[in-house]
Amino acid sequence: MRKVGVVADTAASIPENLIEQYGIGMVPLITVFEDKNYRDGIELKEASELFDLVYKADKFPSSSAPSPAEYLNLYRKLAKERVGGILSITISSGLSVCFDAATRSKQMAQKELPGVKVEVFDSKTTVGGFGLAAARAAAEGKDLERVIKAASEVRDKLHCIILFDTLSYLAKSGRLGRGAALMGTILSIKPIAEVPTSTGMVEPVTRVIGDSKAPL
Amino acid sequence: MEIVRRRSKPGDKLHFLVEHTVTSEEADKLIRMLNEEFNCAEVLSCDTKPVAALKIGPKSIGLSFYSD
Repeated sequence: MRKVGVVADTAASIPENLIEQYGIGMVPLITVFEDKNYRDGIELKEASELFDLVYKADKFPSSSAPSPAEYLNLYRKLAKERVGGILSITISSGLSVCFDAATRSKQMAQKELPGVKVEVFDSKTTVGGFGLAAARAAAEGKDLERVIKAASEVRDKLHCIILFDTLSYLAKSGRLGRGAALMGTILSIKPIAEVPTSTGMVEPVTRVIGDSKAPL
Repeated sequence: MEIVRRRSKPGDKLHFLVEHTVTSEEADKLIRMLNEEFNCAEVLSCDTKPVAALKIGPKSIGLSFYSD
């Protein structure tokens, strides 16, 4: 029986079959569209549904982080499985306030679930490698400290590259950061950015590959 | 591909995750290329969830990787 439960937000791209296999608790991020909330995987199951809405709309949607209560609900469910610890992994704190929400939920859990130790882990990026590494360590019966170590080891060596078709969505979300100036000059090809775990921010890849027909 | 070559050593056992946003054919092509060229411990693939897709836009591909 696992001693540790793993929770991640839906920014962490973890294949559905592995979420199920490892029992990873997923906290949905929220698209806010004309004052209505659409939770990832619940009201909006796929990205194609989102873009159908975007193309028809006059106003570009915004997004919202889950509330601390959303995290706490998952902690309660895991506590019923009698786990002794929970590792809550969030998208980079430089890109979202999920880390703050998860940290607040940890404080709430300390009062409500005194038998469960919750730790919040800033992935410093956007992908699910840490979640998987942590979930695999948890499935092997490792304790919270070792599960955190497994996630940290992957974070230290992970490369996260993004090949964009257009930068317009990133610009609308205000997440271009200091890469904007460089990438603004290369719009004739597919821009490439990365989220280095040293900064947790979207940054240009130093050397851009010029063949727009070749993936990466 | 060049980025992966530059950031890994020949023979490294690599773990890949390909995340695609309404562009599964391009993702499949990339996965084939990764499998052909590199020593892959695993190549996972998944759709980008809506909120992340809203930030990076349609037809984007994310590639994350690390070596053992």
